[in-house]
Amino acid sequence: MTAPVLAAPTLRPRGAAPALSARGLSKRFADVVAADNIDLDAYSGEILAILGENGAGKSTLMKMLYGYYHPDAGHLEVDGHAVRFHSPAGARASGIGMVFQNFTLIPALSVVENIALVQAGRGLRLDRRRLGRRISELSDRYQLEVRPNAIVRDLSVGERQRAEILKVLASDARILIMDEPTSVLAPHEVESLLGILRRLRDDGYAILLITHKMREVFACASQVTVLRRGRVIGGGPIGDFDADSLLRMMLGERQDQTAAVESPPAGPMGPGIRLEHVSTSGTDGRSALRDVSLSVPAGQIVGVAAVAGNGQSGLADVLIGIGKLKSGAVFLGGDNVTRASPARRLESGLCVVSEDPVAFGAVGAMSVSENFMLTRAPVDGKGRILRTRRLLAAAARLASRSPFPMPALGRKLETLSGGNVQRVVIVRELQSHCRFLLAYYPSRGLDVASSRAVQQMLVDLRAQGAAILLVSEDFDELRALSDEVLVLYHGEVVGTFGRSAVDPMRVGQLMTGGRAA
Amino acid sequence: MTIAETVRTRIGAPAFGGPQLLGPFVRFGLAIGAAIAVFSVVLLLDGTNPLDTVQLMWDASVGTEFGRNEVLVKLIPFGLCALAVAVPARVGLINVGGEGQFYIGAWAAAGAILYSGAPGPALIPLALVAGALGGGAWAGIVALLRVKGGVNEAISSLLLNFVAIQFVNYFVYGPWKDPSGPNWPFSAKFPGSAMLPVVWGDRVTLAIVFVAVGLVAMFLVLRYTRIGYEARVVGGNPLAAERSGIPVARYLFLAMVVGGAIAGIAGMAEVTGIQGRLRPGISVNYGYIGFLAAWLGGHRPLGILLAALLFGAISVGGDSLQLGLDLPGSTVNILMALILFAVLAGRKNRTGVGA
Repeated sequence: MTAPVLAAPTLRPRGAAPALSARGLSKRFADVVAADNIDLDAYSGEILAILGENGAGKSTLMKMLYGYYHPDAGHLEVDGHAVRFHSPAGARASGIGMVFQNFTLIPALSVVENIALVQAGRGLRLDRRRLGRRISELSDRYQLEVRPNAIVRDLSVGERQRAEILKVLASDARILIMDEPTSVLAPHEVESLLGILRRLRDDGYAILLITHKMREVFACASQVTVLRRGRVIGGGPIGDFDADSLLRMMLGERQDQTAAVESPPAGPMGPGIRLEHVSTSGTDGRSALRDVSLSVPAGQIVGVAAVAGNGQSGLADVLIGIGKLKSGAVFLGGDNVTRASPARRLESGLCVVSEDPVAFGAVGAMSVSENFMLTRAPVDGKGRILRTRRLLAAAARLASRSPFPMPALGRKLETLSGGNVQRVVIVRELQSHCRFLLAYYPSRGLDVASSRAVQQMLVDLRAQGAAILLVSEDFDELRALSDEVLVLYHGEVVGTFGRSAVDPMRVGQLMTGGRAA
Repeated sequence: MTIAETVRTRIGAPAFGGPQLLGPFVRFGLAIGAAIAVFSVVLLLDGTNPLDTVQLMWDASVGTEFGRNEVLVKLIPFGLCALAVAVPARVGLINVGGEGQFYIGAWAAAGAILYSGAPGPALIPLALVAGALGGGAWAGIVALLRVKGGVNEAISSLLLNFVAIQFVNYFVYGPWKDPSGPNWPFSAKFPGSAMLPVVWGDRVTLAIVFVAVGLVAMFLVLRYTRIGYEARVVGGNPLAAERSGIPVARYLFLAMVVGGAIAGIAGMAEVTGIQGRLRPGISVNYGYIGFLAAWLGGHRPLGILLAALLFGAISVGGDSLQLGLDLPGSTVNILMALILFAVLAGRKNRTGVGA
């Protein structure tokens, strides 16, 4: 119990052995090679970016490094010593910590209690004061701003992530694996996370950053390794590459699909989605909407920019018709649907790509084809009897029209990755029956090529006259696609920008509550 | 096609509905084996030879024609009560109220037979409808509390069992007591025309057909109808169901009431098939054994059939233990509980697997 309160790893010179090194790691599933002879070296004081599309083998690799999977071949070294992990506990004991994409904190406990959990191996007594001191020192040093005594359930996504990082640091990890850490964050939170990573790097941590966002790679990585189809395609010091060359390596022959989406501004084509003075009472810790009025004409895309927890979550329930409005009215295509049932609204052509497709848009215990039927169109037996064969054929047609690869129709959704669930929901919702679309983070968790394809689908729908409300965390995406951008702050519309007038700085200020700039 | 996609294509699971078949059978067998092993230890501690016991139970149930017929007799209440649990379970509701719904169904059927004044040939259909309505209405209380008031259905349905039993007691001790009887808490005896005909052996009544119809109907509805599909969506993810325009509350209500109606029919089958009158204690924990059978059978028709047959065999075999080995009849309850534990423990982790 006399360990130093703050144990930052010492910076090792580049000549020393890598903090973590892998040689020839391979892993097969059934008769498919998910990781093929992968080598990598992560040095203390450096950030190694690991780039690759969905399914390129990033997750498999990370799970081998963190002791979830046994490699079929190859070996690992920590500080030049060979190691074998039989479980994540073994990896943790060797100083490897992982910050997961979906966090592992327990919502009902405070931040300190969550961190104390991973310290459980060190004696029976929980020395709250000492642990609290340690947490505040770590959080000061790396500007990981978290309220240590707040209950995790009440924290914003950004705060949860910082708590998660603190948890890993507090367990004396020296090698940090970050699994797409920015995919859940708003733009300004991304900046602060990158700052945190740089400070950790400068203090001698070895960081493996899994991502497919170029900007982050260039903002902080020292080294880069590109994976494609389970193999290391290339890599080296970041200075040797530019965005184009990395993209080419990631995508291989399909790079042409990454050309920017054609987004000719279209004129409005009549009434679309309209909210008039809508107020809600917030539930489940979501913040309420306050007197929100907005209008998305048919044939237009209106983007919504907001930091997580500022009311954008509530838009879906308002449009679908879950729960009661405190006041206001909802119009779809000129009809007042404030009192209409969800079924009627969906039948009139409302489609939603929900904020959390796994929780709200899909059934885990059902197959892809059964999930295609969920919102009736376009795979539907309207009748009481399901014509199984006809439905399967419709599902196969739908999947074959998809611009990106789809999982097998028989797979249960609970066995799919988040990115693939997202694809299923997008392919189901973004079809020609869609007249009014609310899409949250449509390209979240998707690789570059799939993201482009989704953006193309949005633009095509707009050309067909759909009214699209787009909530995105990717500011570049919002700006590229939207005919108008709204900013929500604390449930209120605090700013509206026309297509040509979007000023990122100004939007950023409004998103974070700076009214007068 | 990326690697992950390739893996998925190669796995090639059935694209619609059904679960893989073999896995559950293997686990079922292993679980039963494990339960019998632990049960043997319990018997050894008691100084009884487990081989004798198992032999005796086998002979008494599956080993003779009489035993096999008795298993079918038990299949009626066990199978129906298991369906009464499984139907609500498919929309995510836990119905522990089969016992009470059984009693109320029996009460309603008895009332219809004794006091409707309907002619003989109409009595059985009338009793069937009355039993279903009675059990359904009793479960309707639970459903209403759940849908309108958010009251946990497991607790309210369980508590209503005790109310139902006292409710029936009131009638058989009071207004419905047979005036020409020896002052026992029995209703009057039903006329012969109200008794279900025997269709197999000496004691297997027409109600065995109710079980078959129920199981087949459940299979067909779940797999081939929109109602069944939507019910599975509600059970699989109520939040997604609501957001897909499915009237979740209506499905919860209906599934609970249908479950209650099936338990009510089980009660009707008991009084019109076995007892011939209404009296206290018509159910020997049928509602609860049905609950075990439904969970053991994974709330799927084929699983329920197997589980109900298994519990039927154990129950018939258990009766022989009292006579043959001087063990209390409730000894087999230990075995039933052990089987349930073993099956629950052997289930695959149901929480999201994710990649």
